[in-house]
This record gives sequence, C-alpha cells and structure tokens, in this order.
Amino acid sequence: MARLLLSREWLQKNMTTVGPMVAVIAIIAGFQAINPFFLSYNGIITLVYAMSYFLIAACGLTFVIMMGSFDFSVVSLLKLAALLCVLYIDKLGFLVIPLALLTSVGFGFINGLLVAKFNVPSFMATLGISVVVEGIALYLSKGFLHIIYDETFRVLATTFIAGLPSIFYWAMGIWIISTFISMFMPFGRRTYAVGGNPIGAGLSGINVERHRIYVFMLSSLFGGLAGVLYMAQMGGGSMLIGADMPIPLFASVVAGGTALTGGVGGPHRTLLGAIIITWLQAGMLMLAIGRDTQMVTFGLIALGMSIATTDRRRILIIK
Amino acid sequence: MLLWYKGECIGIFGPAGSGKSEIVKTIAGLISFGGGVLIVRGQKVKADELPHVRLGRDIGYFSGETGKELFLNWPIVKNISIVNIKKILRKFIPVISFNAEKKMAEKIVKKLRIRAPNVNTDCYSLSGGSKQKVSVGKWLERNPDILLLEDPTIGIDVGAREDIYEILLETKKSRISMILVSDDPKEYSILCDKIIFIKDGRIQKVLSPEEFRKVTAA
Amino acid sequence: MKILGRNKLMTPVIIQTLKTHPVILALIALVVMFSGLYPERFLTPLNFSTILRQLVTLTLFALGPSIVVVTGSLDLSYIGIWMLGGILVWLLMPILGMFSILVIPLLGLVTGLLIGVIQVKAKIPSFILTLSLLVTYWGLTAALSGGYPRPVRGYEFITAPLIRYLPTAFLWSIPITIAAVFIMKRTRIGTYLYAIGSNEEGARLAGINVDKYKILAFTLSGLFTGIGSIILFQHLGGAAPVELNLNNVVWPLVAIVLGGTPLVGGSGGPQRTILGALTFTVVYRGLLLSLLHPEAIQLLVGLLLIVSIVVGARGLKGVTIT
Repeated sequence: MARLLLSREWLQKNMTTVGPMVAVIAIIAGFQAINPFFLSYNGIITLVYAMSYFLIAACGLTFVIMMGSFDFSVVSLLKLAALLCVLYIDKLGFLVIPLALLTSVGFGFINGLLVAKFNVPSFMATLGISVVVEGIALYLSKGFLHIIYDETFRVLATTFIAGLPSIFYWAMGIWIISTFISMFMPFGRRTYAVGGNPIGAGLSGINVERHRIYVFMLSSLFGGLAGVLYMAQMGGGSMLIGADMPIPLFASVVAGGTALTGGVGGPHRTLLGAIIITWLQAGMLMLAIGRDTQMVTFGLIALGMSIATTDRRRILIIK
Repeated sequence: MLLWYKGECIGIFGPAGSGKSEIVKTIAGLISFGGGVLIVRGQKVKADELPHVRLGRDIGYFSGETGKELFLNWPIVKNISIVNIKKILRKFIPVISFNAEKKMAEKIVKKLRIRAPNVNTDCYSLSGGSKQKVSVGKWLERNPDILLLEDPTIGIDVGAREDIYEILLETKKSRISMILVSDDPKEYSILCDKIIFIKDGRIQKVLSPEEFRKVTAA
Repeated sequence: MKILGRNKLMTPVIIQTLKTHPVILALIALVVMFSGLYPERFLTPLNFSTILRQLVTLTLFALGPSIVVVTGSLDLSYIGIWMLGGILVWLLMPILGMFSILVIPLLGLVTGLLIGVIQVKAKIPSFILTLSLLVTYWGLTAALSGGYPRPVRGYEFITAPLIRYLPTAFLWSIPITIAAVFIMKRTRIGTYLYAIGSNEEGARLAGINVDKYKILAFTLSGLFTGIGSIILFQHLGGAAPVELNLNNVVWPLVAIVLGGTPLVGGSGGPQRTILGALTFTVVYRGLLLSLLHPEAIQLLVGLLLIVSIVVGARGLKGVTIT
C-alpha cells in the first residue's frame, strides 16, 4: 500500500493536490518552530483575520481563472467597496452595503461586457477598469485615512462566535457556496466548459458571451463583499487598502491548483492556496521580513505555480 | 428546390473549395453569412447567431475534429452530460446528479461499444475512434431535430467507422434528420438518402445513392 | 500650373497618412483645443520643454513593449528593468566605475531573454509572466537598496543642457527611436514579428521559427528598455524603488494603444507608439494645466485607456478572446 502511494506516477498525477497540502503543513510547522506563539490562540486569530477577506476575493477570482480569463480589478473593487462603506456610513447607515455591492457588480458587468461583446482581452479590460475604479476611489476619499466610528457596522466582522470572529464564518460560507456551485451546479460546469474549450462550449449549447458576463459579475461581487467585510474588520482605511494584494491574490488561486489555462481546479482548491499565501504573509510579517522580500516571494510563487499548473498539452498558441 | 423529409440524411458533396463545409458551418453558427436568407422551421435565422442559439433551435453540429468539439481534459461522463444537462438535474433543485450522469454515460458507452477503462477516463487518452464515438454518443443522447455532420469519421480505423455508421443509421430511424459533409464517397452512399452535388457554391444536381455510386465508382 | 501639380500629389499622401493614423487628427485637435483654452500656459517654451521631457520618459519606456505587442504579447517589465538596473549601477559603481552604466542594457537583454524563453517553453501568458517578473524585480530593487533612493554621481553629462528648452534626453532618444522603427519596418526580423502577430499559426506554417522570433522580440524589448533606461536613469534622477502603482505601469501601455497598435499585434509598432506617447503627454499636460483635481485626471486616463482599447479591438470579431 505504501509503495502504491509513493510511486512516482501517482505523485506526478496528484502533485497539484498533494503539493499545496504539503506546503501548508510545512508553513505551519516551520513558523511554529520559529515562534511558538504562532499557533497560540491570538496567533490563530491573527491568521484567521488575515485569511478571511482574502479568501472571499480569491473565490471570486477563481471562477474567472477557471473560465480562462483574468480579473485584475478585484482588488480595486475591494478598495472602492471598503471606502464607500466608511465614507457614507454616516449618511446611509447600513444601506452602504447594498451600495458597495451594487457598485462592484456594476463594474463587473462592464468588465464582462468589454470582454464578451467588445472582444477586449480580459486582462486589458480589467486593468483599464481598475484604473478607473482607483481614480474614483481617490476622488472620493481624497487620499485621506477614514475611520468608522460606528460600532454596529463592525459587528458584521468582529462578533465572536465559538471563539472565532464572524468574518471567518462569512468566508467559510462563501467558500462552501463557491465549491458547491463549481461542483454541482450547471453554472459551474459551464464555467469549466468555457475555460476548457470555448468553441466546444458554444457548440454544446452554452451561451458563452452571457456566461462570461455572469462570471465577471460574480468575481466583482465577491470582491465588493470582501471589501465591505474588510472595512468592518479593520474599522478604517485609505487608498492604501489592498496595496500589495493583486499578486498574492493571483498567487493564491494558482497555488491552490487552478490553472491559468482554464477548465481545471476550482474554489475548493483555492482554500489551500489562500491559506498558504496569507499564512506565509503573516509568518513573514512576524519574522519582520520586509515588504520587498515578500514581493519577491509572491512574484516567484505566482510564476512558479503558473508554470506548474499549466497544461502544456492543450495549448497551441500562447501570447 | 429540394425536399427533405424528417429522418432523411442529405449529403452535400463536391470538390474541395466548392463550399460544402461552409454551408454546414453556416447553419451551425460557426460562420456568419453576408447575403441570403436562412429559414429554419419557418423562422428567419439571423446572420451572426452563435452556435448556442442554433442549439436552442435544436440543430446540433458534430465535427470529426474532436479537438474542437470535445473537452479533452474532461472525462467521458462530463463530455456526454454537457449537452444534456437538463436530463441529469435532480427533481426539485437544479443541482447535478452524479448518479444520473454516470448512468447516462454508461448507457452510451455500452451502446456504442466505446473502448475505455471506465466512464471517468479523460478523453485525451482515448483513441481517435473512441473520441468520435463519444462525440456521436453525446448527440445521440441529445436527440436534436437536425444534426449536421462534418467529416464524422475522418482518420478513424475501419472497425470504429462501421460502428459509427451503424449508430447513425439507427438515429435516422429515431427521426433525426441529418446533413452530411465528408471527403469519403462511401460514406455518402451508406448514410444518405439524397445527395446534392455542389460546385462553386451552387447546387448542380441532386442524386440518389445509386446514381451517386455509379458516378463515383467510375 | 507647376505648383498646382505638386499640391495635387501631396494631398493624397497626407490624406492617406491621416486615414491610417487617425490619432494625428486627435493630436492636432487637442493641441488646438488646449492652445485655445489656456494660451498663456500652454503655448510657452517652458510647457513645450516639459512636454518633451515627459514624452521622452514615456517613449523610452514604451519602445521596448511596442516590439512585443506587435507579436501579440505584452511586456510589462520595463519599470522593473529601469529600477533594478539603477540599483545595480549604484552597487557596481565602486568596482566598475563609469562602465557600470552598461549593466543596465545587459540586464535588459538578459531579462528579455529570460522572459522569452519562459514564455515559449512554459507557455505562460506574457501578461502574468512579465507582471510577476516586474513585482520580483521591484522586491529585489527594494531589498538591494534598503528601500531608499540611491543617487549616483558621474553621469550628469548625459542630460547636460545643450539647447535651451530642448531636453538633451530628447536628443538622445531620437536615434534610439529611429533604430527601433528601422528594425521593425525594414528588417527581416521586423517583418517576421508582424507576421507572428497577424497569424501565428500561418507564420509557423510559412516556415518562420516562431519560438525563436518570439524570444528575439522579448530580448529586443528588454535591450531597448535597457538602453533607454541609461538615459532615463539620469533623466529621472538616479536609482530608486518607485512605488508600483498602476500609473507607472499603465501609461506606456496607454501610449501604445493610443498610437494605434492593436494589442493582438500584426500592425502598428514603435512609430505609432511615438504618436501615442505624444498625444497622451499633450492630453496629460493639458489636463494638468486646467487645474482639474488630480484624481479626476487619473479617472480620465483610465477612461482613455478603455476607450482606446475598445476602439482598437473592434476588428476582432471572430477571434476567441479569453
């Protein structure tokens, strides 16, 4: 039995599943060895706080990557949603939440439209949108730090249930829903289909254009939700929100095993990826490793995992 | 004017560049047309309607180039079910039932004698003939009104070819109408009830299979 | 009658150029508009020299990527080459003296080569590849510099003022730009790159070694960025790990797209990018002069990017875009 498990073929085939798990264990073990407080109650809370909003955004992004596209605007939408909350909470109270979410979905719709109807490559479309979103965020926030003084809003993310903050349950709920959709619902199947073979998907009766729009809207919605919960968790923010997030976010999706080529992976894998990236980040922070080294690390992880997960058999032309 | 009855197979035959595959591709929605009118069941079809819309009108398209048509990194089950999603949903919630999916795939595999270890095998590891069978199988299950066939048996071994002809002849019995475009004259005589000879994009003649055999044998 | 004859020949040429380069019209319109709106501030020699300075920066960063975009890929590593190159110069100055400036084109060359090889062998989309590389380079720059800008003395001669109001850097950038345009338009390499961008499969079937030329494209891009960075190194004031905000990375792309090089490649190129850079700089200067909020300007830049992409992507129906 042991021989069967460790045979080279089995390892090769399941590398993308086993690899992340091994990485998580290595990270936990490693950091714990260096700092025994890593896994203390407070340490775990810190890790949970770091991971939760990240996971929500990553789940949305996973759908886009499963479909074979990119969404560069998730982080900017997270920032905008968070800032909308803090800026208008006095005037609108809890209505800021639907405002933030609708804004995010609106931009997601535009993203989808640009890609599906106007034939703009997804990274370019979402890049352009993110520039616009950043501009709006800058314009509204004027670059200042804004703080929420209303404790009731913060309850969304910081209420402790069974020892863990509520944002954790939000994140888990979103993750479970995402996994369910990707595995059991036709929507998920269609996403994999469009990612695996866009022409075949069309021939099989999938409205590829419409589906792309839906998926971009989904990813933006999750980004906005992550932003709202982020603001509830942090209680304040400025244009610096999500400053170093784009690359780690992308890295977490590929590190989990969802390939850039599309058609494989899924949110269930992104959980591992998000854990790896955010806990790695937290650990590096703990070891006072500078932002620069972190950036190098995540850049290399993103690169390395992209290479590892790309199914080179299927691609003929890559740009 | 050509009359085409339900359950008949029409072949479109012609030299290379005559436009035979273009016709089929246009009906399938892969190419859009500049002039002229396409009417399906009395309704005008728009020039740039995408494939999925044609499918909504119950017109299926099957190409021998399985690379375009199949999801090679997917197992057989998923390839068959993707066109038949409606059939494998659970009763009250629109959730995929893996059991129903598996049963449907097993039924097809058995019927078409597809050579694979099990229904969960990924399609890229199948032989060319088996891949074609999976493709045919999924359309069989889908049961569209009209099925367009382009080079259905290109590059497959004789055994698999025979199997596919057998199946297609059966589908004719279940009242699926077909249009065939191929480079293999034998196929036309086996499968088709009427054969259109086309050249330079224009219909030249309509032949019956016997007439066709005489012409091409010579 | 003779003069009439000559005019008759000229107009079709001009009209033809305008048709294929519509951005020229936009440029003229913008210049006219801004001159009309803010004559005192726009039509001054100082403004011209500022425009030229910005043009130089934009052009030198955008030249390399223009070459890659022609093949249908993207190269976002330019800022990284400039940053890391600068820091390497600072580090190597004590050892190599004045020759350490040559490390920048070398870095550009190696980077381009690396990107090209990874792209071709590992089949990673160029966007994410060069972005990851950019981030990694940024980290390396910050790590090596300790996070602080490191001024380097000894190269002031590169940008020493020669003609009043005409930045010397601009003069340097002219031969570099001409070289880039020449390579793309007049050599076999350039022709092949256009072919790859237009129809990669067709190019392959025509016998072009697509892999080799793609690697070459990225290498050239890195090389040009490296050479340009020599000038930019002094032009922008030494070596520093600049903040990687969207602006620095996106503007050269705007210049490329605005100039009329489609992102799927096959046409356009460095000569168009110059026009695009000029137009963008004029727009930017004009907007700044109009004293709009800087945030609003950023928004407009983003919108400009989207609009130019959409307009540029209009000929793409039928191509599967992911």
